[in-house]
Amino acid sequence: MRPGSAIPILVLAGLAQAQETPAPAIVEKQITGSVDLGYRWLAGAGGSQDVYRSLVNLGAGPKLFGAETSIRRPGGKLYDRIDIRVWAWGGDPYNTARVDVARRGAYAFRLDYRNVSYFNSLPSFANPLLGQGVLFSQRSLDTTRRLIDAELELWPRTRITPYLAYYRSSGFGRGVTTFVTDGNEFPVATRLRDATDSYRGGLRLNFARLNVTLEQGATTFKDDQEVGFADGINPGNRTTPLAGQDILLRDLRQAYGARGGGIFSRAVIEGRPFTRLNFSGQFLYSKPSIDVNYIQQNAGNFLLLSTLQIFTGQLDRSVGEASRPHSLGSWATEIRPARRLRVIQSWLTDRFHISAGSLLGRTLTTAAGPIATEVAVSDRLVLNYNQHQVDAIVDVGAFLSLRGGHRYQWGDATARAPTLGPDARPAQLRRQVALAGASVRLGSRIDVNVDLEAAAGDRTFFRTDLADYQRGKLRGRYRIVKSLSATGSFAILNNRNPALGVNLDYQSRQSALALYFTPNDGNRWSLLVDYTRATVRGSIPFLAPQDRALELSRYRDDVHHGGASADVQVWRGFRVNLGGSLSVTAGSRPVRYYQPHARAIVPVRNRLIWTAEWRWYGFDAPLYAFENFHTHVFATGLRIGR
Amino acid sequence: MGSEYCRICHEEIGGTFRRNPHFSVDDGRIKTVPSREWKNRGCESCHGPGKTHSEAGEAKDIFFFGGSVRNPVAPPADRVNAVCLQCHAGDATHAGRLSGSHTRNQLSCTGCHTVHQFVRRPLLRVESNALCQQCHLNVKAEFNRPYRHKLSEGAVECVDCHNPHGETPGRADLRRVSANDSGCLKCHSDKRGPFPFEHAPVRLSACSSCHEPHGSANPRMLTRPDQSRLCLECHTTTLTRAGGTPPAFHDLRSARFRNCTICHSRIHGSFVSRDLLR
Repeated sequence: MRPGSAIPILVLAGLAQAQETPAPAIVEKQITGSVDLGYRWLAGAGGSQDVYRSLVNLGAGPKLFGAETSIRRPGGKLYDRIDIRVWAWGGDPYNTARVDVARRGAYAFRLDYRNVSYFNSLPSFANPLLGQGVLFSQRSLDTTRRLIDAELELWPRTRITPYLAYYRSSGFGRGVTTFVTDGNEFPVATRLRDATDSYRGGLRLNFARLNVTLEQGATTFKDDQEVGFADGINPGNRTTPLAGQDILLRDLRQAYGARGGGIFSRAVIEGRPFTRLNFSGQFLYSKPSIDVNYIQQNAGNFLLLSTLQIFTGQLDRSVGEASRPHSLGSWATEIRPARRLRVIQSWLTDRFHISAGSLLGRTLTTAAGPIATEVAVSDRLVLNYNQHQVDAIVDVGAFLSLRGGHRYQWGDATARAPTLGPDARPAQLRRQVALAGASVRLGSRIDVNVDLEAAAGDRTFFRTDLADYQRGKLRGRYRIVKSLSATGSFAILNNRNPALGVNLDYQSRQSALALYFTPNDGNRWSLLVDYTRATVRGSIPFLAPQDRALELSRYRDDVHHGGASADVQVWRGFRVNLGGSLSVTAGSRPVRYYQPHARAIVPVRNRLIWTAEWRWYGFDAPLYAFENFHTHVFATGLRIGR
Repeated sequence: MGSEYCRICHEEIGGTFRRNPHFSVDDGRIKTVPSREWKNRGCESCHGPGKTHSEAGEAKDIFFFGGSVRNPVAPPADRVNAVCLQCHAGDATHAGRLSGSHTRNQLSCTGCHTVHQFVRRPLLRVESNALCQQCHLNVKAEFNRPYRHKLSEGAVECVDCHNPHGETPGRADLRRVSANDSGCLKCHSDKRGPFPFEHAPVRLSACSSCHEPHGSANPRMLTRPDQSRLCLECHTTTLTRAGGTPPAFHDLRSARFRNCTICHSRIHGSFVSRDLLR
């Protein structure tokens, strides 16, 4: 008897049993969830706390590490599903929350909220006084960014699905920036506040062989920044006389008020008119614009470089505006001329132009009397970018797919050359790229993917752009036995631009290997080990501004990264996880960054779990030892619920 | 044939499938395409007619998505995806699918998504960042460098910036926000502009011209540790390219001129200064 011949009998027997079995009762309302509460300590903190806050920023105190709840109410009139998840609340720098509410076939609502603190104060960054032992970055920030992303979809997956969405990104905080005059610059305090609100709504039209999305939206933007300094000795004061006088800042008030907005439209079409033909296209259009009001009032002793005059007061008023009509269109077609052959052709065009104008009125107070000027400046930036690509993919068999193709990128850009005057300077882009690749699947054990690109570009927008380059990627996965698998990857990029006056030479390589060992599906223990080696070599000549001498900018980056995670079930759900990562960089900026950790999960009672974690953050920058820091972070908590 | 027949042999799958959103096809609440209903035949909506398979018990008689004991060789991604795209082709996030890098590299939908089980939304096999890092090992390593986006802390996810289904061609599958802006501006919205005075590479090129978005050994995730080198690699007069040489008073022997953003503090674009000074 063939093995399959018993199946109809089993099917019939099973069906009879199924018919006898009463239909499953309608599930009543189900509420599940958990809360993860605890406390965190920092211990043994040493080194630069500014750098610790810039890189890690985890603080001590009671924490709500996470909470989640799911409510299922099959057949509910208002909803049949609610999912709420929150992470890292209670003073942590990165708080997130997500809410999903839906009623099948009626609506789906999603809300994503994030509150991200951003502290950045690195003694070695933007610090001209570092050589004098001053550990104070003149570009420091202590800000917060809040993001709200909400979308309501009505009648999802029906023929006509309308949707409405709202997005808000707002930032606020304070920092240090620089006030620049002709002969000097002064670090000063700044207060930042910006907000972008985006509203969009649209329709998704779903037909058997055609899907269309039409969307219309609008944004509003405001940015209010203030910079100030009052009564005191500014660390940027220059006491080495210039034109016979010290250069000093006594008082400064600077305020920006930018208001903007614009509309955007989006149309997406996707179709399958025939079995052997797919197509998709997008058209995006936006036209943001902005109006700016600016006022600056400063007092002190300043130098006007053009006439070598000293002035003691300055009043600037400026109004400006800018707009950027931007259209982007793309189209792709997939044709299957034969069963094993696919040809994908895609095309992209991206075009915008920014036109801007600004009127600056300035009054300088000098010993000889006030000097008033008014300057109108216009600016523009234009981009026309195009790309065409053809790929042919051949499925040689179930085990092998080969592909080859060609990409052509071309365009032009016009930008005002900075500091050289009002003339706009055109730049051209032209690049031919050959594409090739293969995907190999040997049983369920081996997957290998190879991706190759080689390009010849004779015109680029910028000196460091990709020109004549070869890029290769190799990824593979080998399932050695059921419980042991290995993943590896290798990537290389060589980029050369031999054009006169450029001579760019760049190469990056990345090799990575990971081993996953999960005996018995990881129920008792599992082990993950990964290692990555990455190198970057770059060199390009440049002209030193002071004497136009040719110098060489060399960059070297050699990274060894290792990571491990061992998970062991000690006894009846009591699990221990040990691991961490180590990143060692040599080259232009050597850095070592250690992050080992240990974690224990101990079931105390049904629906009550005790967790404990230790982490170590160790940062070591040999060239900037004053930035080193290290700290232990302990956390413990109770997870209640399931 | 009906899903009840399938569940007799595939009992485990049948049990978990009830919690999966795809069960809506089987219970008739959702049609796979507006014109076609698969009530009580949800299994066959993806696997094809099951009658012959149930009678003969042969794996070859039904469409397997691969990886099973009986049929370990996964079919080409194109064939797997064609099944999923019967319903999902019109999803708004799939607009750039045909030119996406995962399509080119033969990654099938089931490489990331699980169709029978309910693990986590949107039906991913594992948590989304961990899923991406299973293949993108080098990127995982970059996120362990000191200056990086806060991925492991949960502040961002890979899919906040990248659309794994494909976006506009040739842009590393980066998402676009407000319909037509670079995905980076979703969070960095203060740099969206337009500014009366723009820094050209911010608009003409990618943020990655100057930043390593995954992680770097250099402060502010810059591609170079030394600001002046980063700037001067472009700002050296070459008539056919954008850029220009700073005036001679920028004497690099002085520390103030080796830290360009001290003065050019509005490096991404300025409201009032054409030299991006304020």
